[in-house]
Amino acid sequence: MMAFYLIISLFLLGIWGIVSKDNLIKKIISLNIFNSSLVVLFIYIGSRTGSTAPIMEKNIKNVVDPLPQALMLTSIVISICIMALALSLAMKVYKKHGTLSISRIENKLNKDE
Amino acid sequence: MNNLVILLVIIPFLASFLTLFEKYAFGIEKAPQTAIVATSCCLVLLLFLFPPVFKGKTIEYFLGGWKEPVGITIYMDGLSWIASFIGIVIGLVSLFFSWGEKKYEHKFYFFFLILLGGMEGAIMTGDIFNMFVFFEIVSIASYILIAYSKKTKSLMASFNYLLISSLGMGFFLLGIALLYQQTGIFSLRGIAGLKNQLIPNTRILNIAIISLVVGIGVKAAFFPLHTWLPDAHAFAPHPVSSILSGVMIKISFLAIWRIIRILDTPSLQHIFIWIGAFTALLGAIFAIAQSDCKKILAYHSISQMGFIIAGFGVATSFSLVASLYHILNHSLFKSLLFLSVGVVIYLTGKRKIDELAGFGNKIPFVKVTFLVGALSICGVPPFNGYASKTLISTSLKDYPLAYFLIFIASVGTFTSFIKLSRIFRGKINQENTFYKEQKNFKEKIPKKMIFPLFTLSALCIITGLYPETTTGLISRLILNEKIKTDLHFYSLSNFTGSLFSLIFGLSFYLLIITQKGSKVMNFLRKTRPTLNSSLLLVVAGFLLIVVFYLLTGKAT
Repeated sequence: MMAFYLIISLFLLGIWGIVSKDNLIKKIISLNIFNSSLVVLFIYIGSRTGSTAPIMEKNIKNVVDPLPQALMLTSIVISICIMALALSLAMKVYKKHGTLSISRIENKLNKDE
Repeated sequence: MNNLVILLVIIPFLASFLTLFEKYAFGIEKAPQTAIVATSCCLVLLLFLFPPVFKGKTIEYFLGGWKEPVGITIYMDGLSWIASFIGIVIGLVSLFFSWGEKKYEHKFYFFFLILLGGMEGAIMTGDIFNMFVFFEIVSIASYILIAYSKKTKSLMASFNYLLISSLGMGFFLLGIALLYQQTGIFSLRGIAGLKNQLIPNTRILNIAIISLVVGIGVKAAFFPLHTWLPDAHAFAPHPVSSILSGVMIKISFLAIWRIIRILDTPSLQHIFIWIGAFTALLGAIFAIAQSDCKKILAYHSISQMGFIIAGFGVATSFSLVASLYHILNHSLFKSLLFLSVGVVIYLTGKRKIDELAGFGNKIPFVKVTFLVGALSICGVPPFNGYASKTLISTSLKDYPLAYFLIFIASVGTFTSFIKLSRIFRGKINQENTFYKEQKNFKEKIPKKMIFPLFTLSALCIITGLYPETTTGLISRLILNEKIKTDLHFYSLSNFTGSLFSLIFGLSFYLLIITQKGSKVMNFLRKTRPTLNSSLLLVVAGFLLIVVFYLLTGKAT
């Protein structure tokens, strides 16, 4: 049960970081924490059926559910793509504005209008 | 026959790689042609699939030969046929427009085709994790397309959309995890089959469904998840705005539709009446305040989504048909409007209404197509918006408050389009020397840009003139039966409703151009949520729907 609470706290930590941080890079890192917590959640759900690796040799019992693990590979790849894209966008924004602080950028954009 | 279904997803993906391959391997610059040929192939394929789907057959394709509930099924029923049809038609005309605009490289067409293929896949898949993957493909392609011009505002719009949407997709993943924990399968129909055996845990199951709905709801842009949309749709390139507004938000909404209808949660569906009505009102109010012409259209996408969502929430077969009819109509006229305004911006390079006032008189063809789109969205007979808005407000008769909100929203639509039509009427601002130096704007419009405008306005008029036939087709496709309507579309009482909103809209317009009115509008234009508060709104929206559901769930 301890693991479950840790996963929940990681999840909430990620959300807190995304919502409250001012720096774009910190927001992106929080997004990655948030995604990782979901990956761990899936693995946790899969691990409740057993504890051994699902390699089907003779006399293997108590294997974990392999399906969530397989799916999480896809999910990790997607979250890496999103990270890369977000970082490159942040870089382009930095080159235009000279700052990574979201509040300063928004003030600047509002003044332009 | 069954194998043809998967081709609808594969052709755009293969063609997208072809656009890169022919450029880098042979140096051929024929990306737009490749994209158009591929999309036309999809259209032919789709028309070929129409007869069996119309007869009520669901065409299934099992990926890798694994059947449900283990494998992934791609299936084509009436709902996915309509969604793919809208997607491919709007995609095709937007591709023609971007070919004419000549501003885009092969990379643009690469991502455009990936967006198209992803949307086809997202609506056709029957597996919930597969849906997640397709939606992420759609989102990544759309982030890049929004930021394509690399201007400051579009970069920030894309970044905001990326963060908000990724947060939403996280909730979607959480929903999948909860569903998997409860049922052990990912196939939607499999979960629906197991649902009756899991009575004690229905509450967790429903919370899982809510997080799925909120996850895709960020893309479908209903209140309070709509905050990213105005910037993203306004600062994207014109063909991209057209496909995002015309198709992507609808595909996302139809995915919610599919999840809710298959898993059969009526109490959740009823919440959508109120969400829809508030969304319609809010979008219309903020649309009036804008001064950027593409932003007005973007806020109207939110407002019209409200109409669609409210119609879906009523959940009678009549209102479902009305809602889907409005989805079809909205994608036609909103793409038409975005492309018409796009032509104006293409010719002048300006976006503010005050600067553009009167310019449209120089380009009479675009003036006509804009008029068709504007009259459609306002709901003036005999254009298509009139028919579907009448159907939606008729189905909302049992909910007076929602009916009233929707009525005010259509008044607001009139007001803001009277404001926007200043581009096409009145005299040109003579102080602007730009218009004097350059002449012959009429000849500057490429023919490839005229073709999509013509096609879309023709479709708007056809679907408006034959509402009975269109609704009959839609109801055969999604409900497999004919709905009984004793409704006369062109009756006097419906005409008066439209006339009333015109009168109110006009008087409201006269009100906002007074000094005090414009002060209020300035205030409204400046109040827009920051990125942090819109992210918070997503989380709050999720919690709000859960609390609302738990409260109303106890009562019933």
